[in-house]
Amino acid sequence: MESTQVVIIGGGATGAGILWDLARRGIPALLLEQADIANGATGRCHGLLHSGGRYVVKDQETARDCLAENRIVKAIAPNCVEDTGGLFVQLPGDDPAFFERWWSAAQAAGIPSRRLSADEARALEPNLAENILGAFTCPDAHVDVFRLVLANIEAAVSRGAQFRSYCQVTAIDAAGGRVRSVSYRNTRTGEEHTVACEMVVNAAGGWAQRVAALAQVSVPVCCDKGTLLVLNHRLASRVVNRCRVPGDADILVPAGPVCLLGTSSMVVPGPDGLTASGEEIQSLLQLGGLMVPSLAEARILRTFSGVRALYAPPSSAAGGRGASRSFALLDHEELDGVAGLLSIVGGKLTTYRRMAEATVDCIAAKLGVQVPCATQTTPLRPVLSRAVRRRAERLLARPVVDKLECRRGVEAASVVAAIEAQPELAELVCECEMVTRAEIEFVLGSAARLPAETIADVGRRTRLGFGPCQGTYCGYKTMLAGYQTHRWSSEQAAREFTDYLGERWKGQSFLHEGKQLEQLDLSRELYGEAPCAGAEREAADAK
Amino acid sequence: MQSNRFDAIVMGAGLSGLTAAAVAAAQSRRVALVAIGAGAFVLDAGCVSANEARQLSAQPDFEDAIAFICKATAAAGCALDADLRSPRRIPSLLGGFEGVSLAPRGVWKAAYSAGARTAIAGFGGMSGFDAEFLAERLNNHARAHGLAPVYTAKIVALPSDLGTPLTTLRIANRFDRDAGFRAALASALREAATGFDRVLLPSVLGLHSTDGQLAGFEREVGCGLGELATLPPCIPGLRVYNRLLAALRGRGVEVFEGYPADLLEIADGVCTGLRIASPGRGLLLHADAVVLATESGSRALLSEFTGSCDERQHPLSPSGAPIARNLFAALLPQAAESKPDGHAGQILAGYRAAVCACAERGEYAAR
Repeated sequence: MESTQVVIIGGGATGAGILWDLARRGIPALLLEQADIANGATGRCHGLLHSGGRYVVKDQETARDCLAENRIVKAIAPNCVEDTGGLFVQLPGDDPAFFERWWSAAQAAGIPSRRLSADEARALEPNLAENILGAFTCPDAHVDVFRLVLANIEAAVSRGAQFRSYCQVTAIDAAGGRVRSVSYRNTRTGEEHTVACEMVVNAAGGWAQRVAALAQVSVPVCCDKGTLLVLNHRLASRVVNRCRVPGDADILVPAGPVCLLGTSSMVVPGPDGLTASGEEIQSLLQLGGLMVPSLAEARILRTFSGVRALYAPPSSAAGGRGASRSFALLDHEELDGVAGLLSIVGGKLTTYRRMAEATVDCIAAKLGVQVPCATQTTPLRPVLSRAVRRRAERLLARPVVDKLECRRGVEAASVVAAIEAQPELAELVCECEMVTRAEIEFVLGSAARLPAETIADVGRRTRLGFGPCQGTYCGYKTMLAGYQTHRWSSEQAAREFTDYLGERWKGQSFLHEGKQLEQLDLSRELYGEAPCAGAEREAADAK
Repeated sequence: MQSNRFDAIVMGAGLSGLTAAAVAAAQSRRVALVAIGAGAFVLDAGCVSANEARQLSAQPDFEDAIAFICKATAAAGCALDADLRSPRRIPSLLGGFEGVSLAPRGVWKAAYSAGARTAIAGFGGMSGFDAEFLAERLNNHARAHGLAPVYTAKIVALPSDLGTPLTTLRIANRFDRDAGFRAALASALREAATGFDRVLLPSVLGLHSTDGQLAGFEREVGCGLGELATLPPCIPGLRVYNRLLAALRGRGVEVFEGYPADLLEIADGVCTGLRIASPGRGLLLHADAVVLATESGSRALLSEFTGSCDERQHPLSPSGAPIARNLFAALLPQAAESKPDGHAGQILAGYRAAVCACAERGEYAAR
C-alpha cells in the first residue's frame, strides 16, 4: 500500500496552504481534492484580500488578523495580488455614527487609512455615486484565488509533496481510535486507491461535515450561500466597500479586466447544487447601483454562487453574517477519541495561511517535528530570470509577457522555448487574458506541476474563458489543443468541450436581454441548443 | 433635399434587413439601407436548421420568403441553396451532423454523401480548425447513424507564408487579391484530392468570390469542393453579405454604412423621417415607409415599442395601437415570448415587413 505521513482532504486555499506549510517543514503529505483546485468557497468568492476594514467595527481580533495576513500575502505571493487599495464609502441614509466608529476602530486596529471628502473619493473613482458623503481608504487588494492556490500547491510539489485532483475520499479507516488510511476514488477514471497515513486533515470547507462522517465524527458547519455577479469592465480600480454594518451587495472588487459584485447571504443545507435566483440577482444589482450607478448599464458576464462554511458549534445560535468569521481547529482525538484526525473549519480566504500555520503547528507537535513555521517569510515561488524574460519579449508583446510571468513564474521558460521552436504557438487563444496556445499546451502537458485535466482546469490555471466570450472561442481552441497534443481522443475532447460549455452556459442562464445574451445565443447557434443533452442523445442512439 | 427622399428606408443589414431591401428593390422602389455592420449571420455558417424550418413551415409566406431569398442571392452571385422537403446532413463545428434546410452554396455542398470518398483538407498550423479531429468525429457519427464512414484527413501545406496566427480571414483575404495564391492553392488541393471524389476544406475561399468564380476554382482543382463551418467569422456568411450588398447597390439601393440611426421622427401617427448620426451633423432621410430590421436598434429609437407587431407588421405601443401607420417591423408574431429567431425567422420577418411596406404608395420609385 502507498503511504505518506499526512493526508489533507480539500484543495481550497486552506488545504493548499497546509500542504505548503507541511512541505516547508519537511513533513511528507498528500492532498486529495474531489474536483480541481479552488472548487469550493475559495474559487467562488470576491477574491478580496481584506485589510480588516470589513470587520473592524464588530471584531477587532479578526480585523487585526486580516491586516497582518494581508501584508504577508502581498509579500510572499506578489504575482497573485493586485494591490488595488480600497475605499469604504459612506452613502446617504447609512448610519453616520457607524462611519465615525469605523474610523476610530480602524485607528485602534492600526489599519492605515485616510479620510477623503466626497469629491476626493470621486476623483479617485469617478464611477462612484454623486451623492456619496465621503470615504476612507484602506489597503484592501484583489487576490487571484486560483493563482494563490496554485502557487501554494506548486511550491509544495517542488518540495516533494503530492497533489491529486478529481480524487474523492470514500473512506477513512479509524479502527481502534486512530486513523490508519484513507481510501479514495478517481472520479474521472473510476480507479480506487488506499493510502496509509498517520494523520488526516479535514479541510473540506462546505463538505467538512461529510468528510467527518466518514470517520464517524461530527463537524458542525453552517453553509451560508453567497451569490456574485461578474461584470464586463473594471467599474472601479479599487475595492469599493459600503461603510455600514456588513450586508448584501456592498463590495465591488476589480479583478483583471472585469469586476465582481457581491454577495448575498442565505443559509442553505449544503454546498452542492447552488443556484442564483432572478430576484437575488436583481437585488444585488439594485443595491450595488447605490454605490456605483453605472452598474445598471454594465454587462453581466455570469453569476456564480458559493458557500461560506462557517463553524457553528451547537452553543452558538447565530448563522449567516452573525456567525464568527474566525476559524476553528478541531482535534478529534480530544473531542471524539479519534487520534490523528484534525478538522479546520470557518475562517477567511485572507487568513488561509494563518489557518494552515495553526494546523501544521498542531500536526508538528503530534509528530514530534521541531521545525517552526516559515511560510510567513518564504516567497511562494522564485522569480523568473531576466534572460528568459528578455527572450519572451522578443516573441510576445510586453503585456502578454507580464501576464505569462504572473501566471507561470519560472515555468514560463518552457512556454517561451515552445514558441521559439514553433512560432505559431504564439497565437493568443484567449484574447481577454492573453493566453498563448503554447501556454495552454504546457498547462495540459505532463511537464506542468499541476497538469490540467479538463478545459475548466485550464481556465483556473490561466483565467482563459473568464471574459465576454465565456469560452465560446477559446474553449473550442483549447479542446483542439488537447486533441492535437494527444491529451484527449477526438471523442473525449468533444465531451470535455460540451461539458465545459454546459457549465459556462449555466452561469449565464439568468440572462434575459442585452449584449451578453446575444453572445450566449451565438454560442448556442454555433454548438447546438444543448450540447450536453445532444451528447447524451447520441450515446443513447448509439446503443 | 430631394436626394434624401425614398420610397422605403430599411434600418439594419442583417438577414432580415437585406431580405427586406431586396424585396423592395425587386419592386423597383427607391430604397435606403442603413447599415452599421453585418448581422450575426456572418458569425456562424449562415445555415437554417431543419428544426427551425419545420417550426416555421406553417407560417404564411414562409416558402415564398425562402424561395425569394434563394433567387435573390443566386442573382447576386452568392446563392443560398435550400430544400425544405429533405434536409441535408451538414458537418458541424464539433464534428457532428446537423440537419440543415438552407445554407450558403459552399456549405450546402459539404453535406454528407454516402458514395463519395471525401478528403477533409486541413492547413498546417491553422487556428481553430483541425481536419483530423473532424474526420474522426464525422466517421464516428456516421457509424453511429448506420452510415458509411467516408472521411479522411489530408494536411495541405499552404503555398505561401501567410504569417501567424493563420486564420480563415487571413487566408480568405489572400484568396481574394492574389491570383497566384489561388492557382497554387488549387494545385495543392488537386494533389490532396488524389484518390478522392471530393474535398471539404475550412471556409476560406474569399470574402468576395462569386459562385461563378468558385465554380471555376473547383474546375481547376478537378473535383467537388465543400466548405466547412469554422469559428467566427464564418467566410460564407460574410461573402453573402458582401455580394448581396453589392447587388443591392447595383439595383440602385443607397447604402448608408457605418453610422447608426439616432432619431425616428413621428408626428400624428406618421413616421416622417429617420436621422443618421453621421459625424458633424445628422443626416435626415425621408420615406413613405420605414422598415425596422434591428431589434435592439428599434428599441433604442422607439421608447414605447413593446417588441411585438400586428398582422400588417406595424410595431405596437403598450396600448396595442400601431406606433405609426407607415412604420413596419421585421418581427414574427410570437417573437415577444420565444427566444430570438434564427436565420429563417429573420428572412421571413424581413420579407413580410417589406411586402407590407411596399403596399405604401411609392411615388419616388426610380423607373
